[in-house]
Amino acid sequence: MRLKMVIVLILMTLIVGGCGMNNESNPVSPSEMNANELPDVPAFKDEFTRDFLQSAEPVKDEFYPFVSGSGSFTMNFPQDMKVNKRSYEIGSENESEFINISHTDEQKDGFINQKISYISFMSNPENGRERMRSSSKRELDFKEIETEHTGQKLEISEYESDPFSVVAAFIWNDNNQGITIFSHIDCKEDLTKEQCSTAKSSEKETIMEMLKSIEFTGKESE
Amino acid sequence: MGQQRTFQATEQLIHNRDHSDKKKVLKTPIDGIRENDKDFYSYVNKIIISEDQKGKIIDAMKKETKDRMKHDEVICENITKKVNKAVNTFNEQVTEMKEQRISVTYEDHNME
Amino acid sequence: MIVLSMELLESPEIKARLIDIEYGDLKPQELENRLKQLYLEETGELFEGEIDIFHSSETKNETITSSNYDGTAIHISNDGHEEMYVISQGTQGGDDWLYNLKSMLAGQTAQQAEATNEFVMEAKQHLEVDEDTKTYGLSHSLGHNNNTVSYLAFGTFDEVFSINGAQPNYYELFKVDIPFYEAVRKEFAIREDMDVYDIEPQKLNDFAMQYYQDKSDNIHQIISKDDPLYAASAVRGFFTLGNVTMMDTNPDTPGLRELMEDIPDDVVKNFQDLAIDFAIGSEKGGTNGGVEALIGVDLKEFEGIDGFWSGAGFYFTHSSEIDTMIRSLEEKVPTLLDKLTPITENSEEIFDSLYEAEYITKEQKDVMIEEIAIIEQELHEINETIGRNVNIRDSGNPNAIFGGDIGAGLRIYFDHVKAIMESVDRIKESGILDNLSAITDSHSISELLSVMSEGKKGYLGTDMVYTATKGDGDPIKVNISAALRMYRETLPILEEKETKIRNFEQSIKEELDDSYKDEKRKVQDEIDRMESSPGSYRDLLAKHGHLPAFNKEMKSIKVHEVFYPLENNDFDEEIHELKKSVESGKLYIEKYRKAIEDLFDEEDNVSKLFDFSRRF
Repeated sequence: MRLKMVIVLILMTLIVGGCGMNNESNPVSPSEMNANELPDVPAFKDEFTRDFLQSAEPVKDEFYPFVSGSGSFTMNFPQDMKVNKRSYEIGSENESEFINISHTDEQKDGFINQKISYISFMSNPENGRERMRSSSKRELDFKEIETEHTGQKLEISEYESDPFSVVAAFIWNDNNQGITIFSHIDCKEDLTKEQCSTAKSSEKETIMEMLKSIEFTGKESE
Repeated sequence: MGQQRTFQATEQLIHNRDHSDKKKVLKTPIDGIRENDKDFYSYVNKIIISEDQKGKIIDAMKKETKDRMKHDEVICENITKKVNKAVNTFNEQVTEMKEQRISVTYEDHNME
Repeated sequence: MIVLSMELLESPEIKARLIDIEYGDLKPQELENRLKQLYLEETGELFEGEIDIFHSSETKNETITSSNYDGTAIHISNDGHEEMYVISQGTQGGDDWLYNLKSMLAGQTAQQAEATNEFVMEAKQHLEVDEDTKTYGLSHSLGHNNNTVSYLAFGTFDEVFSINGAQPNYYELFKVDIPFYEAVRKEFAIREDMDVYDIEPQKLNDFAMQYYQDKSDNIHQIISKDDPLYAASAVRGFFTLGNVTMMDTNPDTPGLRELMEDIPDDVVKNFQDLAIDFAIGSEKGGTNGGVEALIGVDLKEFEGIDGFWSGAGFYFTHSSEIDTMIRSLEEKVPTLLDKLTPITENSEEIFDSLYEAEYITKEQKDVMIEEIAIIEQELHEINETIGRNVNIRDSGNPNAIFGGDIGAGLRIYFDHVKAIMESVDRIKESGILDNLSAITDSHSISELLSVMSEGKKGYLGTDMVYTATKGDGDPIKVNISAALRMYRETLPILEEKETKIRNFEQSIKEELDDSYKDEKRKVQDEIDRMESSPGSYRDLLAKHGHLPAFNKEMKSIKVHEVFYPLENNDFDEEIHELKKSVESGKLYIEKYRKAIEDLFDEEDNVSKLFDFSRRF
């Protein structure tokens, strides 16, 4: 009995073992690549963030292609930021998503923390604006910003809430999809007022680049 | 010219058919009535909370309820039985009526 | 100045009962009737205003339903006074509540608060409710977390009320309430958002309590000391805000939370995590499902293997399953052990306090302590086996990979997984799970209602019960809600019954009398045909033996027909009996009403309740 089994095992080992030798050679997403093949930037160093990034090739200088976990939108992701794993949330059937993004570089003068909240059940855009107003407890006045994406709108409202400069953004389409984003910028403690304001406007450019790049990819359920 | 002859016979004039499906048709409203009774008493029986509660008024109501339930049940049960019987009789009588005595007269042209 | 809030549905009892009834997902008309009856029972008055109901499932654009939010908005207006009540079910309700509990414990429900807010806005638009109409959130259990986070972050409600609610979580509010977020970052000098998790929970708790102080007056809660959810809220993240009325539903046992407070916070949390994982898994697939949820192995795939030899055969056909099993064990077992070890270290204490509190028996306590130790031991061995196996794989020899996998895979399955299953089965046999599930009764609304009784008024489930003031025996308990429902709902039943009796009469006529005539006509038609054209019936000659037929000519046929009247078709007596029962049924309803009225004094106003109950 035992001998027979050993023979079978050896035979099968040769067959199965041989088959198992095929190695994958397709182009792979960053999450499947070896760490040393990836760009040496914070976004790729963080394992959780890496899963959202679609390619190790930048879409433009210092930005990489990002797909939300619910698959509902894409954007250009700054290389020096990362997604906070602990507060990440995704609703059942990909109907909602919460993404918290922060700068990681302690050496920076200006610093961004961003809350991105996606829902697929926004019955009307005014509700979305209203929710942002109540969420911030402020009378936000939204201005529409031109983007290259059709079929969706980007609206922005900015305010100061010491020590933060805040960009509130609202992106929506006619398909009940809505994204509300609060981006908080603050400065390193030891900056002068002028230095801080310069740092903030430079970070604001990064934020605007991200916001303008956001594009809905449509609902899967339809 | 032949000879006229007459004979008599019992003949089934039309094919037989089974009418038992009438039982279902007739029982449907009765089943509905049973359902109504069930709903009715389920409302009633939730009023007094525990079985061992005693008292003259309650006892009287409980007894009346029990009697009524029983009575309603018996009515439906009787009707159901009677429906079976009625449809069976119907089947039999229709079969019977399809068989009648006939007299047939013919002329025989046999040359011999 | 007295601020009147929740004026139209003022008493806690009416709100508690309404919340419970809403779980039944009644049709709007039915819910409206139930609400009117609640109002009648609780106030003794007829509600004569308008009630408009909007359920999350009937939204026009289907956006709310797709959000998995489940709730009902009730707009009430009376004498020019308007209020809106929104009852939030723990999102997804029913079987999925464990999922919600889990995400809530993980501090992940902000999205559901957004859904709550979205629904309320939608309901206001749909029901054409004025912006300044007071809006109140009602809820039980997880719904309170949604309602409160939604209230604090978005101002969705003017006030909220809950029964045995899950508390709001400050990590959630840090996500969605922007001024709170800014205040926390300023106060604790946080540069990166995720650093919030490094703040000492007690400090964050105190800060949140103080920050939301002015909102606290608008949050009203009734909580049972024995509610397991209240006990669970002892873990970090949750803060209990608002006017809380504590009720002791089981005075003989200490509150669960008191027990929990003796056990270190992280141990409790680990226990919760495991219990919830197991509970979710076993809800779907029994013990197998529960174990699968914990160790990530789908045991169904291994059914029917009862020895190493058949196991080896199994490997050749199912090598990918073995592979998957090992991979998920590799992933899950170390974390599982991390969670289990503090529990086994404290298991004596945990189960001893449950025993002391009489939640479980001595035998059950012993079984638990012993079996949990066994499970931990088995997991350790799995972990070691996997460790060895990984070494073999890393050696890069494909044959060794195979040999290692099959050996390890089957050994893990036969030696350890089976042992764990057996342990779990012994735990189940001890009946401890049933005992522990009895704890969840204390989470129900009805258990709280049952201690909210006063005087002759009491509750059974969501029904109101009166204790009779008169009567000659022991005091009699009458379910007054059921009595009013009987009085309201049985008359239409009798009317339906009348219709069915008419249907029956009609059927008798059609199916027996008319049908018999029909059959008779068919026979008569055939007789006429035979008598008028005998030539068509030549086959009768052969049939009756008059052969040969070719030289015979049909001259005439005469049918000597006899017809009898249909018998057994007389249902008059039975129909009369049925009709009589309907008539006496109507009298009986009145008589029952009278009998109940007679059990009470006039000032109990029972008679008025009956009268009013037919007026909506």
